[in-house]
Amino acid sequence: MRCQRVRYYLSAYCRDELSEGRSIAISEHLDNCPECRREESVLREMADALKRTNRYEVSADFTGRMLNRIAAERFSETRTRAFFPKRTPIFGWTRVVPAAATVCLILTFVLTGGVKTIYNHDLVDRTMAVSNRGLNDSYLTAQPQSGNALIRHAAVSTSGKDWTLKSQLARYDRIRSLISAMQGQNDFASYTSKAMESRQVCCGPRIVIEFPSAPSSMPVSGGSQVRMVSGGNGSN
Amino acid sequence: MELEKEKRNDYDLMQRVRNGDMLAFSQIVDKYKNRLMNVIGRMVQGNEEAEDIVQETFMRVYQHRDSFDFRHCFSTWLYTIALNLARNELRKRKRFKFFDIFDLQGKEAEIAVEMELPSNLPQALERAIEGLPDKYKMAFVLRDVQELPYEEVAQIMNIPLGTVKSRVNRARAILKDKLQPRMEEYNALSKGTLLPVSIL
Repeated sequence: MRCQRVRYYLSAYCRDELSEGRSIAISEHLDNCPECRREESVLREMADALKRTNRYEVSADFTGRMLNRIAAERFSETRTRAFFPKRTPIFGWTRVVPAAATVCLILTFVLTGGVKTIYNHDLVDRTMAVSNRGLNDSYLTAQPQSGNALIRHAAVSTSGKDWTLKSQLARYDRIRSLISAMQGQNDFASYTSKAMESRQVCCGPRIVIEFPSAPSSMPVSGGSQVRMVSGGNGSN
Repeated sequence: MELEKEKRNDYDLMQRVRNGDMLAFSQIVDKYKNRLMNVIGRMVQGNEEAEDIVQETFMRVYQHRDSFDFRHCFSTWLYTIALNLARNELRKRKRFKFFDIFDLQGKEAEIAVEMELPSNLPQALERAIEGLPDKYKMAFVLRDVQELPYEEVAQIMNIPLGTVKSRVNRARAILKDKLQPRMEEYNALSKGTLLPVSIL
C-alpha cells in the first residue's frame, strides 16, 4: 500500500473503523514507514485531546425553566380556549370570503336573468291554473315557427285560429295521423274522417265530408257534399 | 444491545409524554439536554444562543409529540430538530454579521496565546474545530465528539452514508493539518531539541 493511500485511511485506522484486512495492510505499512508512523502518532494524540476538550453543558436551572415554559404553554392552550375564545377579526378571511362569494353569486344571478326565469316559472304556474278554468292559455304553448314542411303547413293552415293547449294537442293528433296515412295505406278518406273526428272534439261545429265513392286521389271538390252538424263539443 | 435498550426506553418515555405525563418529559430533558448542548454549543459557539436552541428543541418536541413516528429513532429526531434550528441560527448570523472591536482586540491575543501554548492542546483543538466549515463541523461533532454511529449521523444530516464518512475524514485531515506543526514543535521542545519556535 502506498503512503498516500495509507494516510487517507489513517484517521479511521486510529479509531478502529476499518475492516480487518485493510487494518492489517496499514499496520504492515506503518512498521516500515516512519513518516506515516509520525502521522499516526499525531492523529492518536488528537483523538486523545478531543476526549479532554471541555464539554458544553446547560445551566443548572435549565430543566426548571424548560418545564415552566411548557406549563405556561399548556395553560395558554387550555385556559385561553375555555375562557377567552379567540376573537375573529371583523375583516378576517373567515368573513370576507363568504361575503364576497355571496355578492358574486347575487351579481351572477341578476346579470344572467335568473330572476326573470324564476318569474316566468311562477307565471307558468299561475297561467296553468287559469287554463284549467277554461281561459285562453295560448301563450303557454310553443308556437310552430320552423321545422319540416308538414309542420310549417300545419302552422300556416291553422294560423289565425286558437292556440289553446287542447287545440294544439288535437292538431298534433291530426298531424300524426296524416303522417301515418302518408307512410302507410295512403287512404285519404280514412285520414279525413279521422281528422274530422278529432277536429270535432275540440273545434266548434262538426263538419262531415261525404264522398260519393271512396277516392284514391284527393277529390275534395266535385261530387262531395259538405254539411254542418250542430252539436260539437263547443269549446270555441 | 445497549443502544436497543436505550431506544426502547425513549419510546416508552415518548409514549408517556403523549399521554400527558410531564414527569416523563422532564426525564427526556434531563437525559438529552447536555448531549444536545455539547453539539449545538460547538456549532453556534455561544452558550446563551446554544441554550436557547436546546430549549427551543425541547419545546418543539413537546409541541409535536403527536407527530413523532415510532418507527424512527427518537434521538435521531431530536438531533435533527436541534441541528435544523442551529442551521437557521447560523444562516441568520451570516446575513447580519456584527463585530465588536473591543472584543476582538482582547480575544486576538488570547487566541494566539492559546493556539501557541503547547500545554493546552485540547483548547487548541476546540479552536480548530470552530474554524471548520459548517458541513464538516457538523459531521465531525456528531461522529467524533458525540460518538454517534455513522448511520445515525447520515440520518440526522439526511445525506448518504458515504458522504458522512468522507466529510468526517476530511474534517480530521483539516484538523491534523492545523495542529500538526504545533504538536511537533511541542514534542521537539519537550525532548530538548533545538528547533526554530516562532512564538517562544
